[in-house]
Amino acid sequence: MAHVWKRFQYYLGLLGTFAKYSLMEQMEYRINFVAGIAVECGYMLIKLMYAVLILNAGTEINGLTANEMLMCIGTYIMVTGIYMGIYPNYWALPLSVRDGSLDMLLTKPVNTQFLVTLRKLDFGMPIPDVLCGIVLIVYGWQQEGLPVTFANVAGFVVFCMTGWFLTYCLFLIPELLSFWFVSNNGSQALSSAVFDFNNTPMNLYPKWLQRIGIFLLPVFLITNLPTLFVMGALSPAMIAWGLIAPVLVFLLQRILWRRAMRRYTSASG
Amino acid sequence: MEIITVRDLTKTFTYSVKQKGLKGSIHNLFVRKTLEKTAVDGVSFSVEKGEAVGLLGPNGAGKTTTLKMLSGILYPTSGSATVAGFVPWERRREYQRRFAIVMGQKTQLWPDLPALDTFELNRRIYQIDPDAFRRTLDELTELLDVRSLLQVQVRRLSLGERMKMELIAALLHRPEILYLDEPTIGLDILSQRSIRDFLHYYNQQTKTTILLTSHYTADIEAICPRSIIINHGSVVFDGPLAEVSEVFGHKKLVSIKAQRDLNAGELGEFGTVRQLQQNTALLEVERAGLELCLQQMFRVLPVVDLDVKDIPIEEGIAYFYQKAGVNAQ
Repeated sequence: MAHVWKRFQYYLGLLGTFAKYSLMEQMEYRINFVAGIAVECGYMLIKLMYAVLILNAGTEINGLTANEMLMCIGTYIMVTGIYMGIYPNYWALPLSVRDGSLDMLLTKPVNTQFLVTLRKLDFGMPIPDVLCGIVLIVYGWQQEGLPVTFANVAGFVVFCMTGWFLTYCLFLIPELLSFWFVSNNGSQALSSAVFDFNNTPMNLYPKWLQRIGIFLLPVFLITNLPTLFVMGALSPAMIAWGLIAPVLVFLLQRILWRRAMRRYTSASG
Repeated sequence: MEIITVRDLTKTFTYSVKQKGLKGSIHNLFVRKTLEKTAVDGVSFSVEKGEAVGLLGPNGAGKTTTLKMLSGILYPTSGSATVAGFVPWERRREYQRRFAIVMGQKTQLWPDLPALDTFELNRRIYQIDPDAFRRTLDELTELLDVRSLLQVQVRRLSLGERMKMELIAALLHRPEILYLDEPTIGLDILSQRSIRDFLHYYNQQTKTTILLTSHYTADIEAICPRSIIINHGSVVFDGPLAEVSEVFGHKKLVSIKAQRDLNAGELGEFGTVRQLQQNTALLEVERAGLELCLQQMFRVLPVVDLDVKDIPIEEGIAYFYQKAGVNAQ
């Protein structure tokens, strides 16, 4: 146990150093830093349009009130922001495979996936998303009059964390295709489109699509479960699936990661 | 004591070919012709602890691929290798702490930050004791004369300065084995010499095992008492670099300068004419009859200057580069 705790501290320390260095790097390019925030604000406004529409309509859709939908959208915006924080690594992975810049990372005595996926952290883009997401969640929660108990808050936070972890694992898989096909712009665009299915709560989609999004390609688990948990709308089986699915996707992604590493051919020169 | 053992190491890459033009691209969309290239073909060698060995070979010979397999970056197609008792491509943390690799065309430094920040990151990664880290850093920056550059962002450094920083980043954890892939590529003469001198000194002082690839013979001569020439993926020579030219050991080069213009006909009887320019010429003559040949030359030709040399090492290397798959040992 002491060994595990030591390893955890080691990796946490490294993550802290990566965060510090990434921030130092980004502060070198002030215009880029500000532009990143501006671009993400633009995207965030588009997402907010849904929230405004729903609030204005004020109607209940498929069992969700306008405020509950607001919470779902808020969770989506917040998780997107945190995902954007590590996205530079995902974006750079196909390029690293193509030009062989992955070479040096593979020789370090650190978990390669940790190094490859968490080395560069972006701070500009997540700031507006996380702030706006939290505001929407708090506003929706308060307006709906849902009880603010320890169990509710803890459940909400836990499902936000599993949602983020699921995002990390699920959307790394398309990036790994670059080890086989080198260029994967198509799958990057596709995975981005799939992620955006969370733009609106899953209750708005037909039943068959909900089942696919819950069990087959569990993207709906990312941002719907926290709100549904607080509403008391999750069955024990669904709570269990919400906790098991990220682990299963993690295991699948690890298998693919190992195969990808074996397949890595580097680049000449 | 053997630290690197390589047996029948082979690496095959697959690639597809495409006919030229749009027609070729459309055809390629549906049908791809896949070919195989054997970059490393059954290479075997061993390296003793503390030895400095040079890997030589033309472009595409398989030198870098061999280094990448030994550092665990690539999995081999077949064959085996152990380094310090570890199988490199298993990527065990214990092994990764015991070696370092420096590649002339790749970097581990964060370009927008001073090199000192990357060194600090490596201290954390390799869990180096802060005091030991400070001592090693002081020693290396002193030897490479870069102390004043530690606070400068890497992207503002010259290529030579950057390479020195790469070496420091690689040596901070005091690796037992150092892989170097063309560390002096693109550097000016002074930077090349400085890095060569440093590596030679470091190998002598610390007995760190060095495996070096380079296209510069001077690098190998300065650092490595032993060389391995790889061509078409196979080892074609293994021994001291000076012995490479022994393949031409039965020949000597004679350069002469005469009082008048020379012609190929009169020189031909002494040996093979390599160069002829007015009153100067370079001849390749048999070592066995050299003395007689020189006496004859002085008698027949109005010689004002004469020089006898061995065939240059580069020519021996070129001979092995062109000679595929023949073991010269």
